[in-house]
Parts: sequence; structure tokens; C-alpha cells
Amino acid sequence: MADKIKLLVVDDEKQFLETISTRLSMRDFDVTPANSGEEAIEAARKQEFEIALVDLNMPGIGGEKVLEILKGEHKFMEVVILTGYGGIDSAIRCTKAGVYGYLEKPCELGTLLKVLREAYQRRVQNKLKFKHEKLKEIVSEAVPGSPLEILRKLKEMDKELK
Amino acid sequence: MSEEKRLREKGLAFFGSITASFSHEINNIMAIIAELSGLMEDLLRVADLGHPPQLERFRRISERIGTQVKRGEEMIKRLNRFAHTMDEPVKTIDMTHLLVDLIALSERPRTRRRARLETRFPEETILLVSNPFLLQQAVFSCMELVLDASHDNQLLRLILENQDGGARITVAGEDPIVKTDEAALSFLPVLMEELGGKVEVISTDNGGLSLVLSIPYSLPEDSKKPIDNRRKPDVASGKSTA
Repeated sequence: MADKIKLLVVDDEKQFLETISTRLSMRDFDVTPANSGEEAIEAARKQEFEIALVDLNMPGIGGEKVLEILKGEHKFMEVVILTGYGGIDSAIRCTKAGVYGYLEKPCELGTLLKVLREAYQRRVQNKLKFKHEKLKEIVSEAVPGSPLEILRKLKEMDKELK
Repeated sequence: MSEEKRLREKGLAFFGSITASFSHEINNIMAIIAELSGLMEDLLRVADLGHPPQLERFRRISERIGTQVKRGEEMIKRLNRFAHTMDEPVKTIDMTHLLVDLIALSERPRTRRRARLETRFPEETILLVSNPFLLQQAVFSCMELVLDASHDNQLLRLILENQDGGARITVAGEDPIVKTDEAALSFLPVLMEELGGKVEVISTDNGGLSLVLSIPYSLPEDSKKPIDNRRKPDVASGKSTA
């Protein structure tokens, strides 16, 4: 499982959730299914996910709110919306909230896989960019002869990257 | 806005709301079937690589596709029956059948608010000669009003009773009222007048909203005509014109 992409799939339609999770698990993904927005938020607080695939129209906490919470709590998590209830207004709101992709159901698996892999690439790039910026900052602030301080900052950076 | 225009607009909004939520459900079914058939292809690909075919899994997927097809067929039939309620302004209606269809049609708005539904229907058949579309609109409006009046997860009660040859329908929420949609509430008497009936707004023992519709056996004469063919008041002379 170590080299698989950790994916959180959120949908209130159980049959759909189960089937799409099975299909994605047969490919590059280590899938955790969540049957509601609340369940997804809780799961993401307990375990690290690289990507979340989120339905929009769900009872309780809807997909847009889930997107907002996940993006707020998990700096590098990429979110892709997969909905049967899409629209331009909602797509604009999701884009403003930092969504990576916005797809409509039913969706060709090939298209979904492409978007999920691209989302993963963006996550990797964002993490590298963050690391690069942090390193530059540490080097510029480094006082000659204080290796322990540099080490402490590097550890802090690693913690943040997780 | 005139009452006729308001009736027409609210009717269209109701029709739109039901068809939108149903088309959403049908789209969901299509998405499930697409994924299940995709899963079958995935399993075939695995079998092509020399792994033993997973026949039991195939059988289960095929059963699940069958269940979804049946669910879709049932939905399309209900949607079709609903669309036909607009054909004639007056029909003989079995009230239990009408409410059972409406419960299925309004499932998505209810589940979105995580509401539970408890129904009580009489054993005898209640037949009305009325407008099926307006009747469904009236009951649906009551459900929406009660659901919107309180928080999610509430228990919704729908009771049908015989009342002097007509029908009495109670839609009640269990939880205390938090807010009421006054505009929607003020439209209910207009709708009920069209049906020759009335609406009572009552507070339940728990402080929840309860709406009681009294519907007569048959429609008033004027309501039997399509809205556009009604007598309109002649503003200048004060007389009515056809």
C-alpha cells in the first residue's frame, strides 16, 4: 500500500461509493470511503490523505462545506468534486475555495483517473515548492555557527510538510 | 401579483422542484450502473490476465445492476404519473395512492434534511374528485414548510383521514419551530381555496408546526376550469367576464 495514493472518497449514495472505491482500489489508490461529509472530516483528522474525491449534494454537511473544511485543515490536500448536481455557480464557488477538479457523474473512469493523478502531481509540486521556500528562508536567516538552530528549523519544516 | 399568476408560478416551481430532484436521482442510478458495468470490465480484464474468473462476484454485480434498473423503472413510472397529473384539472383520485407517490417523489428533499417520516393511512379508500396536481402541491408545500420550520433530523408525520366524505391531511413536525416561511405559509390558503378546502395552522404539544388540510369530496365549479378560462373581474364595470 505504501506507494499508492491515499484517497478519501465521499458520497452519500452507498452503492456508488462502494463500487467507485473498489474500482479505484484496483488501480493506484489506497481508498478510504466515507458515507457523509461529517464522516469524511473525521477520517481526515485521524489519517493523512493526499486527495479527496467529494460529492456535492449530501445530507448534513454538503460537499462545498467539506471542501472548505478539508482545504482549511489540510494544507496540501487536493480536492476533486464528483457530482450529479453540478452547475456553473457551484463550480465557481468550488474553484474559489481551491478545488482541483470539478467532474460530473456519470464520469468516464479514464477521465477521473487522469484528474486524480494530476491532482496528486499538484500536491507533490506544492509540497516541493513549500520546502524550497522554507529552505531559502532558513538559509537566509541562519547565523553562522548555530547548526542546532538550523536543525530545529528543518525539523519544524518536516513536521509542517506532514 | 395576481392570485392566478401566483398560482401558475408556484405550480411551475413545484413541478420544477420535483422533476429536478427526480432527474438527479435517475442520474445517480445511471452513475451506479456505469460503475458496476465498469467493475465487470475490470474483473474481465483481471481474468484475461490468467486469474480464475470470479463468478460469484459477477453474479452479485449483475444482481445489483438489476436492482438499480428496477429502482430506475419505478422512478420513471412515478415521474410519468406525476407529469400526467397536469393533464386534467379534475380527476377521481385515490388519496392513499396519491400520497404514496408524493412520498416517493419528495424523498430527496426529506433525506437532504435527514427527516424521518411516519405515515398513517386509513384502511378504507378515500376517493376525491379533485385536482391531483394542486393536491400534491398543497401536501408537498406543507412538508416543506414543516421541514424548514425546524432543524434537520426531525420526525415528520403524515396522516390521512376521512372527513365528511372528503379528506383531512395532517402534516406535522415533532421539533419546536425555529423559523417559518411566511410567504409560503400565506400561499397555502390560496391553494386550498382552489381545492375548495381550508388549512389550519396548529402548534403541536412539543411546539412543532402542524398543518391540517381539509379537502372536500369535489372541487368548486370555478376551479374545474383551467386558470386561463376563468371569469376575470372587469375592473371598470365591476362585473365578471368570461
